[in-house]
Amino acid sequence: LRGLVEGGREFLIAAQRPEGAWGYRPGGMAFVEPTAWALLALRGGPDVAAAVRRGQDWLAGQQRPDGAFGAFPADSLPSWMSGLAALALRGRPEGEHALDWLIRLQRSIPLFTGDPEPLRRTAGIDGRKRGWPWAPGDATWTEPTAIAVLALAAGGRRDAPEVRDGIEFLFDRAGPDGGWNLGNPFMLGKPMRSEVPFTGQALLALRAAGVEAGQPRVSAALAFLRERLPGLVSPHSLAWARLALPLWDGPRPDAPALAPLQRADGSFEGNILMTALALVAEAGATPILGIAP
Amino acid sequence: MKWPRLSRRGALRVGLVAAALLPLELLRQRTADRGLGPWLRWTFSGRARDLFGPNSTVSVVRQPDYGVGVPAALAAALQPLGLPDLRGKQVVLKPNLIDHIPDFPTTTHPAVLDAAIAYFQAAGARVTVAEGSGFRRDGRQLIHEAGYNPVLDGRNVPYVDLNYDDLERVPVKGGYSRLEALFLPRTVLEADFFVTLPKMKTHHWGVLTLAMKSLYGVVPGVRYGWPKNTLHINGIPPTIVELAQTVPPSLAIVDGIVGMEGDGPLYGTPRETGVLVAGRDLVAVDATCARIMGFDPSEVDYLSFAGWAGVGVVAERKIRIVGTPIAEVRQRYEHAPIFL
Repeated sequence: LRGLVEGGREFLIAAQRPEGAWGYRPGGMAFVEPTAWALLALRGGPDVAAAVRRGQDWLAGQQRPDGAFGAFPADSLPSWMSGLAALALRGRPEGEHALDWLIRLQRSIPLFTGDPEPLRRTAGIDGRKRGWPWAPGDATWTEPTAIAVLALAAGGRRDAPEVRDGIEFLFDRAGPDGGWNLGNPFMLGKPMRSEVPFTGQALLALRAAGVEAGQPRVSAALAFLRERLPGLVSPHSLAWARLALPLWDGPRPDAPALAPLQRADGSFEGNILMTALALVAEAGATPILGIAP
Repeated sequence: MKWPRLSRRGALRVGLVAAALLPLELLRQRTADRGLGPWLRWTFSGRARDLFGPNSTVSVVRQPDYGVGVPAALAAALQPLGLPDLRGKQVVLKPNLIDHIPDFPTTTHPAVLDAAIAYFQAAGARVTVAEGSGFRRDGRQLIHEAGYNPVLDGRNVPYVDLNYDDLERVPVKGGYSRLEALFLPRTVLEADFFVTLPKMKTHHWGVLTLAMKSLYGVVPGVRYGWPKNTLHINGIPPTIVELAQTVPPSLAIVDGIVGMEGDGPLYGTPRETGVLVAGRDLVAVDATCARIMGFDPSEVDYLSFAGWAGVGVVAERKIRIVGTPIAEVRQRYEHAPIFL
């Protein structure tokens, strides 16, 4: 475990861009998502304070006046990555500003006033449930909602009505196989398959928001993850599963380990997002994401 | 108030003016969405392409299964198309990997991908496989489930998940949708030769998903989300045509060995069709596939639109089929159910 974390940190530090940001791969263009996850992965690590400070300063510099973040510097539009930036900047004014924007964004979504039945019949969802979109003007989906709920809960706003809305939204979008996909549990009445990363994100958000163990949706999602675990070969999915399961199940010694997938350079697939997720998963979500034990 | 009495000559004049104004009003209504100027440009461009443009060539080659005959069938499909010298060039192959659902033919078969890689490597090209799933966040897990890892490892070919690639802002070329520009992956933009390898399928929103619709896979998820709903919001037919003109592949090879009918693109029924279809004009390739599947291309909005605007060729008289005549492989695919 120590080798995995140290090697992963060394890879992340070496891959940091001169201005402090990270891309999805070493030498790649800067994005907010891998930067936020790299900062979460490095948080509290030894001898990384300077790198973290540079990364946080770069990230804070990307904030728009309204509090939102684009997906990357050339992107002028607000993005779902604002929630990740808020997590990575927790405790700084920029983080609070981003949380305010997330609240305003959810409040700005028009209330669904049409007949909910056609959507319920074809897509299996309740259009009246209020989540978050990938970008303003889009429909609402699993991941941006999960990340927003997580950021708000971790930022001390667990009791905000928008967080309650987000929990209801996530429960509504859970699939018949127990997990979550991008947010369409059914299509034309046919059940859609869930995917491990979306399921891990939703479980993390629900745990952060205070949903108790034993809730039927949570139990079904944990069963989905346990069933999928043996077939996972990608560090991305494996990290999300290993991140979410212990929050409810406790440590699982039978879960496939991440370490065998780590490369000699300390990375997972040479990918910064996957490496950061793996480090966060190994450290556990409780201290890094601010989730109360 | 007393209205003046209208003479017969006056009534005739009023009628003539009304008759002259009616077509203008109809034209105004028809072009209200995008404006008269673009509408006229597309109309004239389409008519000019239809009257004076070259014919397009589409290869149709029989291949009954995914066995050892696939490489020879693929080579036979590409031979008449006059591909350029690709020695030392960067060739990007984009299969259809929207999602993997066991027992459903949702994705381009690994045997077709393998044959395409081998063909372009033998031509001296440097090959990369790239795709950005519309449904799956984890492309690495997806290519494992789709059976691509043995192919990629065996041919020593890198895989790029286009959902996470470096991006460039590209102004859209057609102006058919309300989008002014798209952020698109550099792997595709910098390719010397970009090849799309779609699956022959029906689609519950687009009627069919073939070479043109497969280009949704180049739109990056980290910017536009999953399932890339920005494109749906801006209209499926115009965004399909927009992409086909903004990032035009150099070549399309359609895996129609086993297609999908009915509830496509995910939960339809396998349909053994036994063909590979290839061409350099994506519109002509899709129109030919539509005919093989038993559809009239005019049933497919994006194909009608693309043909009318001159993005490619839809008219049967302008498409030169080489290999197997359409009539010998034509099927009658079940339509996808209508959504909402």
